[in-house]
Formats: sequence, structure tokens, C-alpha cells
Amino acid sequence: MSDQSASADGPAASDRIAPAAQVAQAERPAGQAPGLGARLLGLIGSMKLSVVLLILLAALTWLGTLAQIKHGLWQTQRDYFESWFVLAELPLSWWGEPLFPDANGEPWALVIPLPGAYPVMALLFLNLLVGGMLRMRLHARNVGILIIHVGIALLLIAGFVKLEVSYSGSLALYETPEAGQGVAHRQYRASTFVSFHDHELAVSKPTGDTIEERVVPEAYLRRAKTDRVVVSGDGLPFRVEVHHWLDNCRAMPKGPMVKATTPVLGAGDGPGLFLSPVDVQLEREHNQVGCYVTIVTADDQRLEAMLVSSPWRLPQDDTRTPFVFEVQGQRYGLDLRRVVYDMPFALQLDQFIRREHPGTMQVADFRSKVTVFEDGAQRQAQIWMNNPLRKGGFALYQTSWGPQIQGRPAGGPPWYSVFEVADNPSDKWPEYACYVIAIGMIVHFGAKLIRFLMSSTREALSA
Amino acid sequence: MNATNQRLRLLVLALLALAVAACSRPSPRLSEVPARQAPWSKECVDELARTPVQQNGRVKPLSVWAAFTLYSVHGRRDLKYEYGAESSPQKVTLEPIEWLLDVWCYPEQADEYPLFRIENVAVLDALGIDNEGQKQGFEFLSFHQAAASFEQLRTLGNEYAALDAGKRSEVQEHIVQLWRHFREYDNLRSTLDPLRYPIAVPDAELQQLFGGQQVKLAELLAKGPEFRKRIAAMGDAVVSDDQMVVMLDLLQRMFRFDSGAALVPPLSAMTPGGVGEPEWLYVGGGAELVLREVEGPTRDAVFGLDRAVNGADHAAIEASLMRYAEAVITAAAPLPGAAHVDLEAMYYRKAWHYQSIHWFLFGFVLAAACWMFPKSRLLWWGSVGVTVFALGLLSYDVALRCVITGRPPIKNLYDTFLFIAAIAVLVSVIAEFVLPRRIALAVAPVLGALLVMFARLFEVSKGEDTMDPLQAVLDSNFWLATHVTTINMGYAAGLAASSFAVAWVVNRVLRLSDVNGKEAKAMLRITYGITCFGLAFAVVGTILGGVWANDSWGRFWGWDPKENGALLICLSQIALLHARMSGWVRDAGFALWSVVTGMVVTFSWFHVNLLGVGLHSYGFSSGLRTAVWMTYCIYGGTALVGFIDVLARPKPAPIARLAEDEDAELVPPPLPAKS
Repeated sequence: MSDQSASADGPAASDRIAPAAQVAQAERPAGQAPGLGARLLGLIGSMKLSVVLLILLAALTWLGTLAQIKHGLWQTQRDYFESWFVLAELPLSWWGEPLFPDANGEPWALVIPLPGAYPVMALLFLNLLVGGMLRMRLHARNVGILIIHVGIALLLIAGFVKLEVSYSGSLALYETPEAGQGVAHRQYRASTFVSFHDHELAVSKPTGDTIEERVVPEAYLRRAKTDRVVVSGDGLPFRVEVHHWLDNCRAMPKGPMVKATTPVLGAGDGPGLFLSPVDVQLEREHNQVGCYVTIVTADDQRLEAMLVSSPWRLPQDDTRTPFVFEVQGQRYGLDLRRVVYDMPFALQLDQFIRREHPGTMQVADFRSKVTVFEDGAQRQAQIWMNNPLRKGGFALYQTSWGPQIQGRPAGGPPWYSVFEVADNPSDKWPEYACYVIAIGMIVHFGAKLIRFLMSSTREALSA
Repeated sequence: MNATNQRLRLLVLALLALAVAACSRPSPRLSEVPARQAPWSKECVDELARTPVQQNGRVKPLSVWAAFTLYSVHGRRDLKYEYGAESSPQKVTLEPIEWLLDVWCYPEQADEYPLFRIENVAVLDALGIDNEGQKQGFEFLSFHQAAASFEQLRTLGNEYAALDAGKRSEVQEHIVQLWRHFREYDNLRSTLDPLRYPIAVPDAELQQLFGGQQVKLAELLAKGPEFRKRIAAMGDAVVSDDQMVVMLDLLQRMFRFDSGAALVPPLSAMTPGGVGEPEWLYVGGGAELVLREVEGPTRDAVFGLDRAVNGADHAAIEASLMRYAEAVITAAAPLPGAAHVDLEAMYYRKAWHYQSIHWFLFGFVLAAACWMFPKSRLLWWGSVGVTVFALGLLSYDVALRCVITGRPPIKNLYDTFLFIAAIAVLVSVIAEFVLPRRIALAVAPVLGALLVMFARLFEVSKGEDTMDPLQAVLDSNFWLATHVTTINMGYAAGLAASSFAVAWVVNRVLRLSDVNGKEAKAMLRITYGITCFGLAFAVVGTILGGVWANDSWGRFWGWDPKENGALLICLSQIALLHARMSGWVRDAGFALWSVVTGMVVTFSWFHVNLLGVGLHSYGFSSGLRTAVWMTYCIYGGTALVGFIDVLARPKPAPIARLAEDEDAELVPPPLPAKS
């Protein structure tokens, strides 16, 4: 696709930067073949590799955007952007109408095998490091580019740190009432928050003042969809068999007209309860996972129970009751819950404030007045949209509130406020990268523009 | 390949670009002679247009509410109809505010207006409405006709609305929209209902007081003190009189009636908590205040509206409307949020951006003339001057929007059109000064005119007030000014760059000038320069977006469609620059890739908003789909034809010049040196 004609201008030699591979070649004494290492380094740092990688990343980004329509963000993110390899799909449509639709109206999709964003970005980082920084010729003209590349590298590192180290979740608190007006099970203050997507099975054992907890991550339990997964532990006088795992479900009474596909429990003196599967939501955080457990003691006594995790974004009551049972005179608790994380401080919601645009239901502003408790000290703060609270490596963001009604709730439960909590060491790095890149761009493109304005090329083209 | 042929091509190109399809639309006929035949007086229309009203969370001129409602339900900027003898019909064109006044004061007439646009007769079939089959063009259904099929419309409308938006068939979608428009019109139409319908009066003494067994709200208010005295005197007897309870209950409901917009300014600027703007009152709420013996503008406004609704003749109606307008304008003056109503009414009356279209087109004509008479410096300066003047009008328009809303230039998808138009023209004009080869001179005004025309189309097809208040998450002037502005400058530059690449491809395919001539080289140079400029803004804008997201949602990057779109522009341009640097692409490759980048910009700018997923889908509009796909077709077609041309003719011969032919001058020589 290249136009071979000789040209006065072309990509003029004056504004081309010799790619690393060419530089390496130029420096090599004539007649001597380059070593394997040098050739490999040349390939990794080559500008053509950059082009290929950038195009691959663009393809992933584009297809990964379209895939969200069908698969939702969470799944797409894992398939396309946090994977090594992906069978990307290009759903064919024309003028917004699907082409060759199947029974569900989904368009026919072209399958394109692509490397996932993980290896592409890792290689891009290497390519940038080798070709764009280490092996780049040091020249006044390249200073801007070097600065830009440093900024991009910082950005990629920040992304990597975020992906590997950071975790986040949600925290919902009720507004603290007047002294003495509190309700026992409502959570007004917390020093923990819960994961958006991930669940765990917790076996707890109260021992005097403390509670000993053992947790089993969801990944280990998902096999229970079709299998029985056995959970046991040193010092536990029983084992737990997990079965009938459901990715999204609700506990329902078994009425006479209801057909249950899962076991019905407690049918003795009532209709009995069962976990009814619900369509799995694409927004994964909206799902409530559930499972059935059989507790088998050493003397082969069996106890059946079912567990279901908490609804999305509702306040996590601090008395969220686990399933409690007794073995050999010791009480144990079993809970299927969103993964719980600790914060080095406690947060209390003092007041939630909301304002609508006049005469409408549309919210103009919502914010939370909170008190932060840490090491016996306390201080007041406000969290609102675009203004998170950063503390102890954590950042807390105002995301939602409830109940979603107009006006102040009267009589019923008070307002609760929902925060997103994130622990991310690279929180501020992208911002710094942005400054670096902006400076690099101004230096590089500014200098180029000035050079062009004074160049003979311009004179030749305008004359 | 002679030069005469070239001139022809140039001419055709210029004409094509200028061709504004003048589609004359026939005005639908009214079956009966309308009640109001005298036009609304200019004085009355002007005064009502600038009367403040609170709707959708902000105080705005009545004309703006009328206009966006008409755009939404009618899909046009004005309403046309004709009546009278078929041989010599009376043709009428109503401005939105005139239409609103008809809806309020002459509802029977307004209900007959050809209002709801029907694009597919299958809709009429589904609703059981008689029709003559699919015709060329659209049909319009009056409110009266639609109301005759109300049950069917409501049933189907609600049924289809419950379906997933993406799963509705064309007809189903149309019915959902029609049902929405029907309710929207009905909402507007019933704004003044509390003043329109009488209440039954059961009490004999009250009957005597009101002079009949029925009373309209305003008559009741006029005798408010006596009415209250009588009710007080009845004491507990009211509760035991079922008929009285019904009457008072109905009265209460009228006071709480909240259809349409809040027309009556509040008595004070106080708000709960002391922040924000006070809530205005609907006409019923205003009536309640009058019954509580509130005097002044509130009373004038309510009685003015009453006389307008129940007026005897047209002159009296106009006088009453003026009384209402005057009262509200006086009362609203000191209130927060109402400060810019006059300015806004003026803004829409002048429509500077609309005027800029004409000047852009004129600038293009001059640029085309400049190609014909390349020696004329006067023409060059003329074209530059006119384009810059048009840009000035457009920028003034954008600046006014900032003043009225108290926000940076971009708050929603509509704003992006005007802003991007201004930036794209500015960048192109600068390019013309850097490389004065009359290429940017022609591209700049075309870009400006097209983008502003798109903005106008978008405004009407969306039918939502473009200055309405923002969602809480967007409420940050700092981020609106930084991230949103920079990323849109990236879009603007990306579009401008791709336009010059399109020019290069057109030039090559049609052999307008030498492929290796100075014109072609200059086009590539400009494309390259603007790409670099745009890339800087796109990259910084994208990262700033991440920084904002990190402050509002707690993550820098979430692979949200809008974020991905912005990233795609950056990736495409970065890859292009690296491919050019490494020698992988040369002139043709660079140009074709730049054209494709134009598609990427289109995808990112507004196609992702149509996907219906992600956090940024606040700009959704199905009417935009056609525009998006048309843009794809233009860019894609250009790239394809250009690609085939490059394959078929890798090395086109230089264009023959006939030395003795005066037409040879058509390959424009350089501009004469400045004297």
C-alpha cells in the first residue's frame, strides 16, 4: 500500500527518528553478522513491532467493546483484557441491524483468534523500554519522545500494579440516629468492606471474646455446580459437603404450585424453603450466589442447610446471621458471603445529604458526612461525587444510596449511603503520567511545528 | 486527460458539496376551518417567548420549553398546515411558541393539527386507523385522531415499552415513540386544566355566591374571602356533607395538579437547606396561594392565565397572556436561576450557529472561486475572512451557551457538535495559513457547515432541552473544562485530519492534480500536522478521563465503551505515526489510514453511545444511528476506492499540461507574493 514514487517530501528525513534496529545496524562494523542476542534485542525494540502490537491492542479494544453488548463488562474484561489468548468475536451488523441473526436475535459473529491484552501489553512495555527508551539515540530532537515514552511506561506500570495488587469493594452504612435511637442489627460504623464480585465460604468458631474464622474462596467451590465439594479442616470435628452451587438465586418458600429443581429444606411444619435459580446478570456484582451444604460429623450425623450471599449494595448488617449449628457442644457458624476485607480505620456515617434539581426527581448532589476513627482519634470528613476520601492507602468513593425514594424517609429505615472502597498503591500514578506525557507532547510536537514552520519543505510547498 | 475536463470535475465537486436538497414539503390540510385565524401578534409572541417557566429542573424561557416539546413530538422546528378552499388554500406556519399558545388557548383547534409523524403505515394498521397505504413521505396524525385509538395505543405502547429496547421491531419502536409523544403532548395540553374545567357546587349559599351550580377555579378565587368565610361557617357540617367533601377534595387536587411545567414563581428564593434553587409552582399551586390571599404577581399570573384560557375573543386572550407574562417576568427577576432567561430567549431567537452555516457555505463558494481564479489574493482573503467570521459567530454561540448554563462548553452530546465544529474549523484555518494552498481554505468551511447542520438535526431528532441540568456525576466544572474539552479537541482534530486525507484520496482518484504535486503533498502535510496536534489532545484527554474516573468511580480504567473509544483513537494515531516513522507506510498508506482513523473517531465520538452499554450511555439517541452509518459509509467508501486506485494505478502519470491552453492555469500556481 505504499506509494513508491520519489518525493521531495515523503516522511522527510529531517523528521524521522532512526528506529533502534537501524541504529544498531549502523553502529556495527561492516561485514560482521549481528549476534542472536543483538538481533533479538533489535526485534523486541523495533518500531514495526510497536505498530503490530498497537494494532493488536486496538483490535482487542474494539472487539472487546462490542463484546460487552452480549457478554457484559465483567466477562469481557476477563476474556479480552486480562487473558493470554482470546477467541474474539466480531458480531456482524449493518445500519444497526444484526446480520444473519440466530433465534435470539444475536448477529452472526466472525471468530478471530487474538492474543489477550496481557501478553500484548507486556510486549508493548518491553518494546517501549528497549526501543523507545534504552536503545533510542540520545539527541535533542528525541528528548520529547523520550519523555512521552517514560510517561507511557509509568502508565502501563500503574495499570499492572492496579491489576495485580489492588482490590476494591463496597461498603454501605446507615445514617447514625440520635443517641439511643439506634437499631441493633443496623450497621452505622464499619472497619470492613465487601468485595464486588468474589465470594467466600466462612466457617466461624466463637472462642470466648474472639471468633476464629476459616475461609474457602469461591474458585474452589464453583465445582459444586455439578459435584459435591468437600471442605474440611484441622481441628474441625466435621466436614462440609457443598453442592447445588447457584451463580444467582433467591431463597423462596416452596408453594404448592412452585416446581423446585433444587432440594427443598425444612418441609416439616411448613411449605419448606429452596434456592430458586435466577437468570445470571451480566453485571456480575448484581448476582447473589447460593449453595446447599451438608454438614457431616465424625459420627456420620448429617445436617442439611442452604446458604445465600447478600444482595448487592445493601448495607451489610453486622449481625448478618450465619447458619449456626453445634457439634460436640461447640457452636459453629457457616456463611456464604462476599469476600470481607479489613480497613485500618473505622468509618461512621453521620449524615447523608441529598438534593434534587428543583421540581424533578433528578439528583443534583448527594454526599455523606462521616467520622473516621483511627487509634482512638477521630475526625470528620465529607465524601461526595468526584471527591473521594483518601486515607491509609484506601480511597472511599460515594457511589450510591438507598432507599431510592424522594424526600426523607419517614418512619421506615433511615437512609444508607454506599461507598466504593479501593486499596490501590498506584492510585495517583496515572495522574503523574499524564503530566509527564503532556510535557513530552508539548516539547516534541511543539519543536516539530517550529522546525517545520522554518523549514525549506514548507517554503517549497507554499511557494 | 485535458484541462477542460479538470475544470468540469472541479465544478461538479463544488456543486456536489453545495447541493442542499431543497425538499419542499406539502402542508397537510385541516378538515375544518380553524377557530383562530388572526395570527398571534408579534408583541404577544415576543413577550411570551421570554417568559420564564421552571421545567425539568431549571428555569427557562417558555419558548424553549415549547420548542423542544415540538421537536420531540413533531420532529420538526415548526408546524405547517393549510385550510380553506383547495384551489386557494390558506397556508400557515407556526413557530413553537405560537403552537404552544394554540394548545393552551385554542385546544380544540390544536388537537386537529397534523402533529405526530408516522413514517410507516404499519403503525396506523396496528392502531386500527384507516389509511391509504404507504405513501412517499410522511403522514401526520393529529392528537384527535390518535386519541380515537387511545386504548389500542396505550395497550400496545406499554406492551412494547416493556420489551428490551434492542429487541423491538421497527413498528414496535415506532409505537413506543408515538405513545411517548402522545403523553408528552397531553402533558403540555393539560398544563392549564385546573383553570379550564368547572367544579360542581353543592352548597346553596355557595351557589348563590358563585351564581350557579358550577364554578370555575378563577371565579372561585375571585370570591376567595367569601368562600373561605362560608366554609369556616359550615364548620363540622362540611365533613358530614358528602357533596361538599367531593368539592373540596377536587379543589385540593387542582391545587396539587402538576402537569406540564411550573409556571408560577415562588414567593421567596428560600430553599430547604439553603442550597440550590427554589421550586416553582404549577398553576394549581399558584391558585392555592391566591386563595390564601396572596396578592401581586402570583394573582396576576393566575388570573392572566385564566382569562387566556377562558377568553372571549382573540384580542382579550392576547391581553391576558401579556398580563400573565408581565407578572411572571417581574416576579422571577430576583430569583436565582432566572437571571439568564432573557439572554437564553435572545440566544434561540438569533441562533448564531444557524447563521454561521450560511457564512460557512459562502466561505466555501469563495474558496471554490479561489480555485478558479488562483491569482486573486482578494478572493483568498475574502474566503478566509468569511470563514473566520462564521467561526466567530459559532464561537459566540458556544460562549453564550457557557454564560447561560454557567458551565464549560461541553455538557452533553449536542454541545460536542458545536465545539468540535469550531475547533475543526480553527485548526483547518491555521493549516491554511501554514500552507496556503487553498486546500484547507475549502475544507474548513465545509467541515464547519456540515457539523453545525448535524448539530441542528441532532437537536430536533433528540427533542430534549440541551441546557437541562447535569447528572450528579458530571457536576464538576473542573473536569468538564479539562477532560471533556481536551478529548473533544482530540475528536475535532481527528475529524479534520481525516477530512484532509479524504481530500487527498479524492484528488488522487479523480486526478484533480498531480499525485506528487504540491497540492497533494500539502494535503498530506496538513493531515500529518493535525494528526500530531490531535494525538496530543486525545492522549492527554483520555488519561485525564481516567483520572476523573478514578476520582468518581474509584478506578482509573474500566474498559468502558467510551473509554475504549478514546483509547482507539490514540492507538490508531500512535500506530500510524510509528508506521510512518518506520517507513512501513508512505503517502498512500498514510492517507488511507488517516481516512480509517476518521471512522474510529466517529465510533468513539458517538457510536459507542448507541451501543447501550456502559457508564457513558447518557447520550443515547436512535435517530443518530443513520448519521453514524452514513459517516462510516463515506469514510469506508473513500478508503476502499482509494485503496483500489492505489492498487490499480500505483504510479499515476503526471497530469498533462497544455502549455498554450489558458486552462492550464487551472492547476493553481502559488499565491502571488505579498506586495
